[in-house]
Amino acid sequence: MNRKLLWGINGLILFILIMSVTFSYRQLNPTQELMMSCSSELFDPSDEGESKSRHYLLVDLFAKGELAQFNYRYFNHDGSSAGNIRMKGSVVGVDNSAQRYAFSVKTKEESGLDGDEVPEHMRYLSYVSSFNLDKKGMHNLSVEMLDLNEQNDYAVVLFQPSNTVCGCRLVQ
Amino acid sequence: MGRIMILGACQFDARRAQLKNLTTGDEWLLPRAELQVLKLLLASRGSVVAKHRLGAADDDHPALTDSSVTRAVFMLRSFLGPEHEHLIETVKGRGYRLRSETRRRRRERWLTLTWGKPRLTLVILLPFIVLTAFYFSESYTGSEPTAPLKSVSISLPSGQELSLISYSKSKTNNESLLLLIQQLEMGFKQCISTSWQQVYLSLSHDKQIFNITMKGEKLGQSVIRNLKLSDFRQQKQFISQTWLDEVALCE
Repeated sequence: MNRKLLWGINGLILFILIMSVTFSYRQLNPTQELMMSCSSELFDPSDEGESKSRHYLLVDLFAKGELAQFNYRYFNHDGSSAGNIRMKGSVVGVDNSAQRYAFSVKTKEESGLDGDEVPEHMRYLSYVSSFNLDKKGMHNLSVEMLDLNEQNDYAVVLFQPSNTVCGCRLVQ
Repeated sequence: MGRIMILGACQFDARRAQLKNLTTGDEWLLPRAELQVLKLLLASRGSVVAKHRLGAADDDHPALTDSSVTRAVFMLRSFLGPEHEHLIETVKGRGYRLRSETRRRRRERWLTLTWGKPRLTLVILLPFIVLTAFYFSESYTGSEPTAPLKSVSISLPSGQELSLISYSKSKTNNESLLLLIQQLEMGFKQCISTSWQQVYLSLSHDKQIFNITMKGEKLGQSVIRNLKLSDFRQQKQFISQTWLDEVALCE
């Protein structure tokens, strides 16, 4: 038989084999589920040194399969809502060795940005995410576990590219 | 010879007898002499074509004079422009030659290379392409966990040890963060003891938000407290004594 044809058949078999392994891997190791809730105290320092306003932020991160959702809820000091930013996107990669999840946010919904006392953090997040969504059509970010304690259900994580450390409660 | 040929920056449409400059968009409906000369040169690309052959009569037209051929070559070169006029080469005493290295020829050669013999190469490369795509799409494994920029240990008067662990995207240009670490270190040193054991610190990439995550134990339970300070002023002052008192780090 023609030597080239034999090589072609070999290549095709190899290709089918790799496709099968890839498919099996995806079926047996679906993207891990990740659910976290991170609460933070927000401070906007004033010229007098003390914080001119104080807010609270609750971030709920939910990732399952290829879907990812970030819900940023801002609260005033009295507990009333100060605004929301809800982002939806996909999980684009999981690096098990570095315990890092990569996400690509495609859409977002915002409310409360036209209020009287909008948290600076919310303004900032809204601006950065809008900038990326308008420019690139996506807002990419990653979450890396710096200190994971599954026994006590918490993790200290690092968000990139914002370079944000945050302690979160793991939701089982 | 194909209907559409590329010659330098021009496209030659043999059926419409038209030469079009793809850069400027100029079109030239070739007169008989120019059309005949160009067709013959293209048909014998890379070879010298004698002047009398270029001007030979055909079934419909009489022969061209040598000066008509010379003029036709001049006109063709003029249309090709200074960058590509050299494609029609004068071979002294013998005639003219159209240089073989036209874009079409290069494309044809490339197609031959990629789809002729190396169809096999493509088949062999395909799995590697799939593997590469899989590698980048599903898991970007192999990268190292992020290492802290700095880790500082503080001893409090009670004998308690406290770690300040800072993270930065870059190993350089971290003066602002290092200053904040110092300020926070001073703040914690005012405590006799504290519930916190590890304090994680980071400054956003644009130095507008300072993040503090404190981890410790209270009544045998793991506790975590996140503080995020936003300062968009030119002269930033994230930490002040008033703020330290306000957040009560020692509790």
